[in-house]
This record gives sequence, C-alpha cells and structure tokens, in this order.
Amino acid sequence: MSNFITVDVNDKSVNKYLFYKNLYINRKFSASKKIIKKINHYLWWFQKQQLRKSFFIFKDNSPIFISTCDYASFKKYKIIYSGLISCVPETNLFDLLKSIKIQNDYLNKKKKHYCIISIDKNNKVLMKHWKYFGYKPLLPSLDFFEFCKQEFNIKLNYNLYYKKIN
Amino acid sequence: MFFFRIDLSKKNGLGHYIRVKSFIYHLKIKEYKIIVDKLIKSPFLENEKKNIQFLYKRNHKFINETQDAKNFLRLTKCNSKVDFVIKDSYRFNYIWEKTVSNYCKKIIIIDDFPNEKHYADYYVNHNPAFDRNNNNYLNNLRSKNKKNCKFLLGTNFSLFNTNYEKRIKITSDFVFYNGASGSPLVYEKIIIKISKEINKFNIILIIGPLVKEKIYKEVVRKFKKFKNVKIVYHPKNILNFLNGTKLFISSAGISMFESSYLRIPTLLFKMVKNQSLNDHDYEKLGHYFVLEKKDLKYFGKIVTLLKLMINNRTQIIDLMRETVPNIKKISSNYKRNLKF
Repeated sequence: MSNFITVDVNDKSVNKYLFYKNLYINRKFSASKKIIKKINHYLWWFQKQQLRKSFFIFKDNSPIFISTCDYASFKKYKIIYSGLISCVPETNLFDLLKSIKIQNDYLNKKKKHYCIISIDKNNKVLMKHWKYFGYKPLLPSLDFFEFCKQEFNIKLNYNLYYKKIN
Repeated sequence: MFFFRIDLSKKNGLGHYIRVKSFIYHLKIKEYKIIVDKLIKSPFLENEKKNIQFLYKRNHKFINETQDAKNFLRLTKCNSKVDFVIKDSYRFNYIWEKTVSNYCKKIIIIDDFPNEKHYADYYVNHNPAFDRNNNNYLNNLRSKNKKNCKFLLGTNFSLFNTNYEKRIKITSDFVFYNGASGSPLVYEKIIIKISKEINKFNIILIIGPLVKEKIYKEVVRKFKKFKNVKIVYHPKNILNFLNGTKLFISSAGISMFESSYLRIPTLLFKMVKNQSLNDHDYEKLGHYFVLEKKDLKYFGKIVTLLKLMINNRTQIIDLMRETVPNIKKISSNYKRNLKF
C-alpha cells in the first residue's frame, strides 16, 4: 500500500516549483503553453505565490503533485480557486484521483467557501471525473462567474466548476 | 616549501588566487611561493609581492604544458627544495602534473572541471554538486586520476576569502559586482533604472581588482550624474562592502561563497562556463535566486525583482540559515586530510 503525505511549499521550493510548472504535462493543460522564464517565475513568486496556499503531495517519499489554492473575495462570496501541478512527467489515473481526494479533504475544511476548478476541455480524464468530487458547472448566470474568469485569468478553452463547502 | 602554480590575469580573474590564499590560510602555511605567468599590478596583491614569482618575461608567454612544467621546475629549483606543488589552473593538466610530480613529494590539484584527466596525489573540487555523495561522480573522478589519489570534495572543502576587518561595515542597499575582471557595465541599465525610479537607494558598484582603468573611466563618466551610486575602484577586499549591504548582485564566481558565508541575500548571474551549476547546487550555498547572463536584458524586470528581494530579505536570510559555510569545519577538514 502506497504512503501519501502532504508537505507545505515554502521558499526553498522556488526553483523546484518552476521545474515542475515547466514540465510538458503541466504546460499542455495550462493557459500558456510556453516555458516560463526564471525571471518571470521569481517575480511571480514574490508577488503571488506568497498569497497562495500550496502543498506537495508525496507518494512513497517522492512528490507527485503540488496542490494550489488561490483565495479571493467577491461581494459576500469567499472563493478558493484550486489546481494541481504534476511533479512527474507522466502521471497515472490512480495517483491523480488520490491527489484530488487529498486536495478535497483540505478544501472541505474551508467552511462557507466556494471552491472553483477549471478544466481544459481537451483533458478527457478530468472532464469525465469532476462530478464525482461534488462539483457543478459554473454558469455565466451565477453571480461570481465573471469575477472568477477575470480574477483567475480563465481562457476560453476552459470550463469552470464549483462547489460550496458547508 | 610549498609552490603554487596558478592562473592570474585579467582574463582569468582572481578566483584561483583567492582559492590558494584560502588554502594557505586553512593549513597555516608560512613559507610558500605563488608562481604566475606574468606579474600584474593590483592593490589586491600589494601585500603578496614577496611571495609572487613570474614565469615568463615580457616577450615570452605560455606555449604548452610541457614547456610550462619545465620552466616551472627550473624556477622552483632555484628557490629551494620543492616539497609540495599545488596547481590551480585550467590550462594544464595531466602532462604538466606528471612532469612536475617527479620532482616533488606531493602534487595537489584544485579544480573545477571533473572530466579532465589528472595526475594528482590530492584532488580538491569545492563544487557543491559533490555534496550529493553521488558514486557516479566519484567513480568518474577515480577513473581520471592517479591510483590512490585522495579526493577532497564539496562545500566542506570550500576555498574563498574569509578575512576582513569585522569592525568596518560599509552600508548600502545594493552592491553590484561582476567578479575581479568582469566589466561592471553589464549592470549599467539596471543601476540607471533603479536610480531613476528611487534615488533614495544607496548603490555601490565595485570595479574588480583586475578591471582595466579604461573601463573604470567609462563607468565614472556614465554614472557621474547619479549621486546615489558610489563607485569603488580596485578594492583590496570586497567583504566589508558585502557585510554592510542589504542585497548583493554578483556573478556566480567565488564571491557567491563569500556572500553565503556572510549570509547576504544575493542575486547571482551565471556569467561564464565554470559558473554553470544547477539550481540544486547553488541552493546548497543558500542561493535560491540565480539567473543567466542573457537575463540581464530584462533590466526592468530585474529592477522589480531587486525591490521585491530587498523587501523580503529577512525571509531570504532565513533560507541561508542552514547553508552557511563553516570555516572552522573547513579548516579542520583540510588539516585532517592533508598531513604534511
């Protein structure tokens, strides 16, 4: 049985974090497909990463994913935009689903928050599985739809999903 | 008697000299000679004049390692008995070492490039990559060296300047340095932009001990309008400037060991081939922010980064806490492994 643990991302992870973000598997499903330059990453690290809550998900002492959570507020809504960054060039479905579960366990503790995820329409695996984790499509009729699109820079080829933590 | 054969020139910089001086310091060597190609004028070397000898006269120069070894032996034999030869040069390897080793007790090599073939009794390489205890690295070195060669590897054998007057602290917000012989003008656009944006920043631009006077004059001309930029020409020791600054911006040469030792938040630029370590190895010295020389063209972004680093310097200092080179430990490592 594999052993999964989580470890908080700290400043010592700055260069590893970039290495993982630049893995093809992550760029393939991210808004920008280009390799991120170090100078841009360092600027982002000081400006944005410090506002983000990220943790590594380790399987048998090796990192397999980074779970990321960006916090925002809009009107009465407290919003968490979460994502996963793969730490390995090729991941398997079991590890992915297990990591989503670990991330959900973290998110489920955030009472009265709306959790948002975005999924690339071409990502066939995740497009089939979002509903199993309690998410619903975030439709334009919802109050915070436009805000999320702007705030989290969501591109047209992504669908947004949300769930409310009670 | 110890003889050091090193590269010391405007082209090669001061790194080799600083390393052998550190070696001398750790082993408390009293009698030694440092052999260089030609004598160069630098205030950095003023106190060392009596110990420095040059191998080539005005009209002569280095041809090949065999000839250099012969010249070296001719010169050292004139002095006294040659006990130990310490070589820190990129230009000559196996042939030079094999030739010289016939006439000395032990030959010690200080090196940066582990793929070169050597004929050493002791091989020193302070590259942090060796801290990983990777057997492949060690086997590779063994295959390229004399049988029974002893390897002194990694940051536990770091060689860099640790001597400075602790009472003297020259305060500043930023210190810019491009090594002993690199042109400080690589930072020109960054310094001008940061000075124009916020003139309250106190900036020191160090002109290394081997930088030509012509470049110094050009630097003075370019920065004369900027009252907050202090130009320091050919300092004898840069540690007093590092010790008093909030942020050090430097090439990733020997000075990265010095800023690590003083725990000064640093932004490094890989300027030359022998500075191409991977991120993990720079991190072993507490340096988490390392850019390429080509990144200097993004001077606007670098200025923003410098401001962010200065605002977050407490957390950057925290990152360096566990990685500060321990000088006592380095000295004892040398004493334990090199018994003369």
